[in-house]
Amino acid sequence: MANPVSASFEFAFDENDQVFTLSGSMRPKETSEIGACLESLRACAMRATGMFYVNVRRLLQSNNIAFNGMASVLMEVCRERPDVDITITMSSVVGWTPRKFNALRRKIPSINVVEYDKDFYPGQAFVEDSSFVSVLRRQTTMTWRHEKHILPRHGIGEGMKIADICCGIGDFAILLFKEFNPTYVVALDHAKASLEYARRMAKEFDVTGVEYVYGDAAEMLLPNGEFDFVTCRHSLQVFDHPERILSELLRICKPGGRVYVSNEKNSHCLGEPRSESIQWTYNEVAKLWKHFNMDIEIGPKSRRLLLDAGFVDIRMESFMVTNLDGDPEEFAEVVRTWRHMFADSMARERGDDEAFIEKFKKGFDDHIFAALHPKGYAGWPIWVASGRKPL
Amino acid sequence: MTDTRNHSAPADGYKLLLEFDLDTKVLDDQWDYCDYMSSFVANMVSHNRADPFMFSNLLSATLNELFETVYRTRKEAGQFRFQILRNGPIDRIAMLVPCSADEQQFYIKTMDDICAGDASETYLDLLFSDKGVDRRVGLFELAISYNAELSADAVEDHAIRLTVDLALEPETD
Repeated sequence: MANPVSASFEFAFDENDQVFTLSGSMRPKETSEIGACLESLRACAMRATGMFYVNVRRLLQSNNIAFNGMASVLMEVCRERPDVDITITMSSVVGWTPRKFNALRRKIPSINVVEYDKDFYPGQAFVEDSSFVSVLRRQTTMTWRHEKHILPRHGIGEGMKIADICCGIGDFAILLFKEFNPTYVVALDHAKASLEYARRMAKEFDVTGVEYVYGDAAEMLLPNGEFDFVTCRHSLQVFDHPERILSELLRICKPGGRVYVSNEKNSHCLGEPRSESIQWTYNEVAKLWKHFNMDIEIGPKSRRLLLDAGFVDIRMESFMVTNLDGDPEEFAEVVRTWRHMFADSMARERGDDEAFIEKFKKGFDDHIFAALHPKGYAGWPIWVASGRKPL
Repeated sequence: MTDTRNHSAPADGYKLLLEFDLDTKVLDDQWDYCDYMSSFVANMVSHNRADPFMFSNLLSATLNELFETVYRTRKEAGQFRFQILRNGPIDRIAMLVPCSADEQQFYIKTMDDICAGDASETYLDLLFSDKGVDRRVGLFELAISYNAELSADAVEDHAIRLTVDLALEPETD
């Protein structure tokens, strides 16, 4: 396993947002060794107005000396500046932090302690629903028929160290492992139910070369420059800050390695017959996702996003998953699940009325009709893009 | 670090994962070794846990507290022995620490305090003490925050045997 441990720590203060950030590993022998950090924390907190945030999301380790020092400063601030509201933002990914900082909250109830990553992903509740697992598996089966031929054009090869970020239920990682014989695959996701499923599947198929890791794609604990090939599929569209994910993908990729992303443009889903109804519904899907700060139209924007993130040598192509690829019922089943997720769950969450929801569902039903029609055609377009990390 | 093969045999059901001996003289003024050893051991034995990164992070945190306790408590020269063993969800850390009779009493007394009814309150008092960190806090933390089972047994008058059983991963079906 790659070593994620940093032997040193850093601290910084963002005056604009009043966020004091600690990162790395703090294990001093004496409190005086971190005196400059604690003094800075005290000074920043004492001159804060209103909210003051302490960000420990990437503080991988802290011994009790460092923790006691931090806690002493914060207790002092609470005593002397009761008007300042202190919030500690931690990540559930860094296992030690909830244990320690929840103890601090017990000691000083006025300090807020929050798990930041729970609030970061606006559409997380929808896509982390464990009932969504079966459709995810089917979608991977449908896209893999295309991607196993596409991936080599984007630089994947045998013997690589691969990271599959936002791996979902982990089936793509297993397919990569079987097809491309990597030395090592780490597959990371933020949905615990999906990861549990992924581990069960790996065990069932006797795949031992994939490590499934719980993590926040926007702030991963994976080391810098570690992986030859990094994949992130159908996920930038779920985040309201895709540039943060791309920045992390760039960071963990080796110089000269490549990052591969795939995304959709849902309004380009199509079908015949009943194309107009289908078109209307998928245009509405795009608006619905936008309401939840997600961009299901991101596919064709991948090139710009990769360039803006600092990648070079961008390669991009698209493919269409259709009802003719395999069993049409497979395609229909995926659309049924979209119908349920988008119409019954997300549209209701947005507060749409029943008339809208019925019309909205009709487009999905017509897409299913097209898929199963003996002379019909139904399609779901995907854009893939990859960029090379500069040397 | 030296690889030794003549340690006590693993207890029933426990499989030895890693062991080493260390001359305590090596630790003199080498505080960073606590961090190095805990990070190294945690990484070496975490790869086949369900979530290796989460497990490694937690194991490193617990090991570091133990190593720091040993560092602050040891005064006697001699061979420090370390073993990590596994039995299903339980990881067992076994340490043989050369120490004086007084130091033996520190460990034994701390274990008694951990078993007392107000151990949780004592842990919070130690953790947030305004007098700096009390060297007992690491052992309390393992028991209170990590629900570890700890024991300390004197070995004649020159060493203490520390055993810590940890279940760091949530139970799954």
